[in-house]
Amino acid sequence: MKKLLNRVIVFFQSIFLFQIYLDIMNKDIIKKIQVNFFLLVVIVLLIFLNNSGYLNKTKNLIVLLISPVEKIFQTSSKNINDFFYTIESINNLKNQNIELKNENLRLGYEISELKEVQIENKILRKHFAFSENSCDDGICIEWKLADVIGRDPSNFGKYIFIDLGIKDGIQEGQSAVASGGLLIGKIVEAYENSSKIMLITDPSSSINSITQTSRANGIVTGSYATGLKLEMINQSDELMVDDLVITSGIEEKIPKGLIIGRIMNIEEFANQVFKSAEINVFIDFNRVEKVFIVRKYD
Amino acid sequence: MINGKIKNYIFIPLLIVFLILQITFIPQYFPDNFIPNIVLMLLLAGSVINNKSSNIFYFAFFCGFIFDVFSGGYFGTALVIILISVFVSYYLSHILLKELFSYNLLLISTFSILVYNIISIFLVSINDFQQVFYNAEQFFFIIIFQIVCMLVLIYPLTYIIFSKNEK
Repeated sequence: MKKLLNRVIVFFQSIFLFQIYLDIMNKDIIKKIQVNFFLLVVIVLLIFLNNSGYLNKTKNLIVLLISPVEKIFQTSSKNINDFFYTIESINNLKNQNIELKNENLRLGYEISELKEVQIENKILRKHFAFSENSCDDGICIEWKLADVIGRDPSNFGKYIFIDLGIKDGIQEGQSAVASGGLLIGKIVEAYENSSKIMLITDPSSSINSITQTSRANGIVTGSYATGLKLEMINQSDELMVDDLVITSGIEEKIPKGLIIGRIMNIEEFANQVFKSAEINVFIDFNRVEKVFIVRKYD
Repeated sequence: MINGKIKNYIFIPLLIVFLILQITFIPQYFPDNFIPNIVLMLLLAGSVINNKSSNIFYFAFFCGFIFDVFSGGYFGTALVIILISVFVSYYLSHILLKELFSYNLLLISTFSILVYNIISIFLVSINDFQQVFYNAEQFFFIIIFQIVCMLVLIYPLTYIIFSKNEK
């Protein structure tokens, strides 16, 4: 124990500036500091180039080079997922079946009651005719199917990469939807052959939305830990647990009626201007393999 | 100081495979915010070997660049964080590591992963200040989780990519 304690003390002693000063005399360290300084200068240069948009072609090239290998990995990943899912589902099959039947009945009733059924139907129809466009009240919606080819490798970002880019008509701000009309995010960067989607669970994401039954308007924001939150709801507006939260259509490139999630907990305090609610999402964002990019135009 | 070198013919293919795994496989099989960074682990394992060349820093730069392309947020953050962590690990191993497989290797890897996570959390707090402190407990577990992953992987990785210089 004493030995270990001594080692820890020596370890922390070595971090002191005096020790660094002594080591500066060492040629190896000087050389490495020079290399790191050079690399830091290059990083600063890259940041400037990125902000000016000059790096987009390089980024596109990197994604283009990596994407074939990524696709192979994604396919094997899907097979592994399916395998584990099958094993997992065998145990819960009976319960799941009952739950799904009940859920199905309830959803069927809700859908028949609500106005957004038109949009929902269109989404489902599009799953069987991907290239088909639809127009309603002068607003046209086009759907494009894309494969997910990459995911955010870090702990603190919620982004995915898809294999469609500018040459396929993809533009920044367009929404990305998973099967069933579930909104998963929007395009934040579009390159020549690929695009980056910011998931709605990312803290930078904010989507204008309404609740389907009570029509309360608010903003859905992401969070690193708690998932999705519906915020900026007026105290006078009514919120109900289990109410669906859908897109409001106010944002230029995001059509109305895309499903975001269901209200789980309502946070309401009399001394606050707005109330908020936690949203339960219907999809595991880490497992999304195919997405539809929605293009809204007049 | 250990007089050793990295087996590049093993290290480079391993690095590319780890990078692709980090971008595709790893995020799918770990819960949000608990994704271990296997590329960083490989780089740290590489940096504890006192290589005469500066290749490890160029590898770190390359990996950081790929990370930045595939992740969100401000461009350059992953580059800087990875480079700093690798340099810290290199520096500490240079002055502390007399033999490769010792307690010091654990201390160095733990300290480097702490540096990586603390800088990351600091940068996250700029964007989402409230959430970081609201979920301080969770971030504490992220660090512990990564350190455990690091400790499990660092010895086999170091063993695989290490070869002694023969004079």
